[in-house]
Amino acid sequence: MTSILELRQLKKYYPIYGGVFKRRVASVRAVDGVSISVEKGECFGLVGESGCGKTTLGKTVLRLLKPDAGSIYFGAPLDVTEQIDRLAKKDPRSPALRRLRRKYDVATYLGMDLRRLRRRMQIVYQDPTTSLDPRMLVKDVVAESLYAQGIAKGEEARKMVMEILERVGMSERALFRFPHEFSGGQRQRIAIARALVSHPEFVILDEPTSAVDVSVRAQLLNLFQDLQKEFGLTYMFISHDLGIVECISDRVGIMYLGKIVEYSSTEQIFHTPLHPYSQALIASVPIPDPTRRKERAPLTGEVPSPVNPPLGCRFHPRCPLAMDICKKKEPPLLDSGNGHFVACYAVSQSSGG
Amino acid sequence: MSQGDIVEVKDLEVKFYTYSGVVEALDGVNLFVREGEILGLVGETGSGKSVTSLAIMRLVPPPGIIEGGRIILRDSGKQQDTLTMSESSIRQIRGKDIAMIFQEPRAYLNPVYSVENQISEVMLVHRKEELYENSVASVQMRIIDGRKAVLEKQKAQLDKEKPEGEKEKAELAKRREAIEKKLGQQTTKPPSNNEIASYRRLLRAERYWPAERARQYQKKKAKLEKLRADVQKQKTALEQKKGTEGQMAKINKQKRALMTWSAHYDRQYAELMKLEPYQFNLGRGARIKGAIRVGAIRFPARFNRKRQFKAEVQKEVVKVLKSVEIPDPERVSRMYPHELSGGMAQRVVIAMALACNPRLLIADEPTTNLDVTVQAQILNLVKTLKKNLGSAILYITHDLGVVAQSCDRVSVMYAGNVVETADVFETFSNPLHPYTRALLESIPRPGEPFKSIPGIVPSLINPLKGCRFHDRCSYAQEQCLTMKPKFLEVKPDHYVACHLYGGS
Repeated sequence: MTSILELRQLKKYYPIYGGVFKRRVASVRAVDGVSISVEKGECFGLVGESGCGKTTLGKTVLRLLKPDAGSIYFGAPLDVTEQIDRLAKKDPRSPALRRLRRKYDVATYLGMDLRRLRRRMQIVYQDPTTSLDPRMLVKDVVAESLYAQGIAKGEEARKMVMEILERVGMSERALFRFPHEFSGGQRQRIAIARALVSHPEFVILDEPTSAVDVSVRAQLLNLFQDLQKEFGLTYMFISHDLGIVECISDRVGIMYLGKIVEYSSTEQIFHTPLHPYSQALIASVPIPDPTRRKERAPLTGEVPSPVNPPLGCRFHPRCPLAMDICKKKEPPLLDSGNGHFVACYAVSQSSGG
Repeated sequence: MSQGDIVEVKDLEVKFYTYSGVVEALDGVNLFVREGEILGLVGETGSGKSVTSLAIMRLVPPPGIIEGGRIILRDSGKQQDTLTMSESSIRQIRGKDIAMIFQEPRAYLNPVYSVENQISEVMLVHRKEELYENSVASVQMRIIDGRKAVLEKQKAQLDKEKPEGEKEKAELAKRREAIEKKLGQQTTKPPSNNEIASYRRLLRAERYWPAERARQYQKKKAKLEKLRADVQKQKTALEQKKGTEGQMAKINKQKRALMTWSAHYDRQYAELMKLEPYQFNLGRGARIKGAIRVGAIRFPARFNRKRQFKAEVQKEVVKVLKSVEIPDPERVSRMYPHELSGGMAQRVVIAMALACNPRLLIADEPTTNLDVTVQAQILNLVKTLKKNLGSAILYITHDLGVVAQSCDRVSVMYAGNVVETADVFETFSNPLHPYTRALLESIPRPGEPFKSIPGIVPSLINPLKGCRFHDRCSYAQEQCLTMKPKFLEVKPDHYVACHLYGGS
């Protein structure tokens, strides 16, 4: 498997302005050093509580937001990324490195490079009611990216729109209607059609099913899986619903306060979670089976503010296994075997590290 | 329907008269909530879950109209039909007997009032008399205690006096008797002005207490003596010094200064010597430790009933906040909604609903917008509250996981009908209605393909005739298209509305 997306220490801070001169007084550390790799053709699930930076990470990867630090390699060959890493270690200011990063690092892209990139990456937002322009006809909504990218126009564009709408299960009658005339599930289908019409390689699904009903949810999830097979898509599935992520993802990353605390294959994450936060998160999911009732909430308290995250491991104030070192030093994301990455001192110590 | 039911909803019909047509939102809903149970009300968006709960509160917003049916509220053997009640009497019930928790805690809380203000509002509507009585009682206790303390003090002073003649002795005995009599018959009457004045007099007498004067006299005397001795010592030291002319001039200057100080101290000392110790003037604002308070209680010089009542309400608010497991309730009660996190805001809303110990609590998707870890906390809270308060809870949700974890019984709604009601274990192990089965199958399970219910939730403008589920149902028969199935008890405590189970 080759990786399609490589993130290296990606950071995105939102400034907070204050004082008389509206100077930058603090930052919300929405994404604070995330390094993951997404493999081609897989569905990477990104899980976390609200405010942990899932959506910001997704938008930064698409370069809808400019990252404050770090690199994004999209579709870069493995030897290039390795070469960049080597160069960065040797001399972070070398011109060769700068040239390479200009060429391959999405975080440094500008202008036309970005435009060309957007054709290959798309996003489906959470709420189709707000993400679809209420004044545009469905045919225009879907065709907009074709026009903007200069992929097709006129008759050809119309044909492509028809094709994709049919593929997501909408009929020809939808073309000359407005988004408000459709139900939530149908609107989400239109949003999917809009994302897929330019045939991207990589699609970010930002909580695509949280605004629709249970019965429609299953239809959409099936559609996602079919489309993935048909177009050879790579998904990044952002969600807080662990039940869905478990079913649809090949690998899962768990985020807490702007950091990935654990990532591995879905099976390992859900059956042998190692990080105490992952364990608590998975234990909090209500199981739809009355014979397996849980008596106690696994976690107390709430997520601290990302403006002033706790020193050391960000989870230590709520962690049942917190040690002295957790309060001082941030645990690194280490492989504990079988590609199971965990950022926790308790785990790395018990496994003899 | 049995005697244990708190609320019974029977054949409830609600229609919304909109411009695009008549929305038949509820079409004969049957529901009952038993004492001390959690009933889960499950259904998709638009199935009428929220409208049912609003109808129970009689809060259906216009253009909605309750067209028919009955909602019977049972209170210790008494039955009331809330739909025929007057608006003023339903207001007596709303918030007191039936309380509601809404989905969006932030939208429900008023951003410009503090938490305390908003919780106390409910209490002031329904529990004003009770709280007022509590506050009056606590004031009365303080009055009695204060009055007793004053009398005790007076008695102690009488005991100290040593009468000489027979006549004085008799008078003293008489006064003591009077005080003891007063001590015996304490009333809760607020203190009269005379009483307060006499209390003040008592305090003043204590302030100019002779012993204290003598003590201060001795203190002052010792201080002056020390100062005088000091000055004297310095004077002799200076006189022994010798030096050049310039140095002598400096010494002389110091000597003159010392002379004035010495004269000043002498004058003060002479004045002090003229007085007897008990005549010493303590000066304005002098305080004697422990004299202002009588015993442990400050005698209430003035009462502000309003302030007292407010304090009582505050105490009650803190108590309610504590019951929903909010850390540091005193601080939280002074906060404003924007300062609270989502989970905290939901706890405050729950506290508000619990302020009057309702018999039925309606929770309309209370955890839908919360994170899973916080959701687990809130679910636990709801369960402990049920245990502690014994009130019944109608829990509206679309999350079958939540239902399985927390409910005792489940009612499944579809397109304005309750299609199945059963015990939670029965519902999950042996669902009868095709819709319930489809709903349970649509729960995603790892390793299996996603199963969905074909078709979409029907529009309730011109809904389907007969069973409203028939166009998505794989068991649909001919009679399903024309005849609405009856809601029947097919097994003990298992109700279904379907033609497959004899609903025709």
